[in-house]
Amino acid sequence: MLRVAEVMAPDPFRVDPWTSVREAARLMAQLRVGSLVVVEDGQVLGVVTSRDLCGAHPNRLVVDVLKGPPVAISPEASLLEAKSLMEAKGLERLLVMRNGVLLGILTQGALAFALGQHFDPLTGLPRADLLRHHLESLLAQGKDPTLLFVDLDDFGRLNKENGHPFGDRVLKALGRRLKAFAQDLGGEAYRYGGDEFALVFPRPRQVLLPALPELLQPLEVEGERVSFSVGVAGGRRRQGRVPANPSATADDLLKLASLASTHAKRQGLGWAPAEALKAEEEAPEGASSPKEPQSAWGGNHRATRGPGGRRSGGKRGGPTGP
Amino acid sequence: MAKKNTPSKRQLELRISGQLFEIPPLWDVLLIGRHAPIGPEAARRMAESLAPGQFTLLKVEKGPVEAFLVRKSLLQALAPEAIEEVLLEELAPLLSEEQVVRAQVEVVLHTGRTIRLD
Repeated sequence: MLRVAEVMAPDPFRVDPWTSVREAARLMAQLRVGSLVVVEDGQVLGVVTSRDLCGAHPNRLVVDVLKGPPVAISPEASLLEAKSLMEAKGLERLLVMRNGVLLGILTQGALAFALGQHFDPLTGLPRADLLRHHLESLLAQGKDPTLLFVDLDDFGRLNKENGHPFGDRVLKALGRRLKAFAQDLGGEAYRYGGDEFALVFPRPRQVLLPALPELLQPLEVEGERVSFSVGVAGGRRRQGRVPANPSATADDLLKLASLASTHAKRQGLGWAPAEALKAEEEAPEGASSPKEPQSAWGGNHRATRGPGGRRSGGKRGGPTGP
Repeated sequence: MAKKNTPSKRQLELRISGQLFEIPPLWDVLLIGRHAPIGPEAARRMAESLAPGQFTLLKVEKGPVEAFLVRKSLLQALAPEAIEEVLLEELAPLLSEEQVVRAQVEVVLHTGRTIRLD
């Protein structure tokens, strides 16, 4: 994940607070910049932008058109942190400072360009690298996030039978549903890759589980019913986690959730928790055949094969286990 | 008929008028419009140069007036909020955002006492 230092414009142009608006506008035009940092005796007072100068009397001083105190961010901060700060403060620029020393300026345009590389253009969702960053930052705070791994069922067949443009529309529809679900419950949805998505919630699993049946309702895309399977990991520890190795823990959570989604898909369950994998390993051979999907998790089968072998959406309750 | 050349009668006339320049050129309060040619900080700096330590700035969040530059001695008799309220009610409606207006504020104390005669 890129840091602010890698995207900022270093060493921005500076002006004295007693510079006139006329002079500041002339400087901006000459230097081809949209803002100037206002500095007095080495102290940063703020940023004056071309928008601030619009409509201001040319005889006014720059210090009289400054809007609010300067808002700064560390060069080590992530781009997502910068985005959140900009949105929270309604700013188009952030000063990049360390220990009171001005290092650069981060503009909304540069941030959007850099972040654009981390978002999936088809669904508009952030990509896997941002998912990992989010997971690791929650784990580093000692939280025990809940991770949902979502895998479309029969996506290859859908593409073959209906064409890839249809497949793209399915991905978009699923992306919309997952995003709405995540936002309603204070989480974030990501496109992991291909037909796989992931949802991260900074909250316990038991808060999310009651909402799962609604999420698992089959999608209806242009008359075609499309189902998907969900694997759930994390979010079980009341006391949170020891933030010892967030990267390794994130790896574990991703692995467990993705394997659980595969298990759910294979068994025809709507969803499965990571603990189902252990139960599957311990169960006698053949105990969890696809014809007996409820297994130890007590959930009901969510989809049945309809005419032509396609899944038709049955009731998708899924397990009610831990 | 030939024209005669006449000497030019162009004259330069100088008119001079003088007026006492008050130092500082401020009265008791300066009302600074939100889009005035001079901003609050510039006005404060001007006052500080011409009358050091005698004026203070009171900023206003909304309305056509961006700030008042007030003579500090006034604030000994009246609270800043009271001055702001009176000036905004009485003068602000006459002021546009582009203007700067100076105002005189006279503080007159009316009092009376009854003294018992023994």
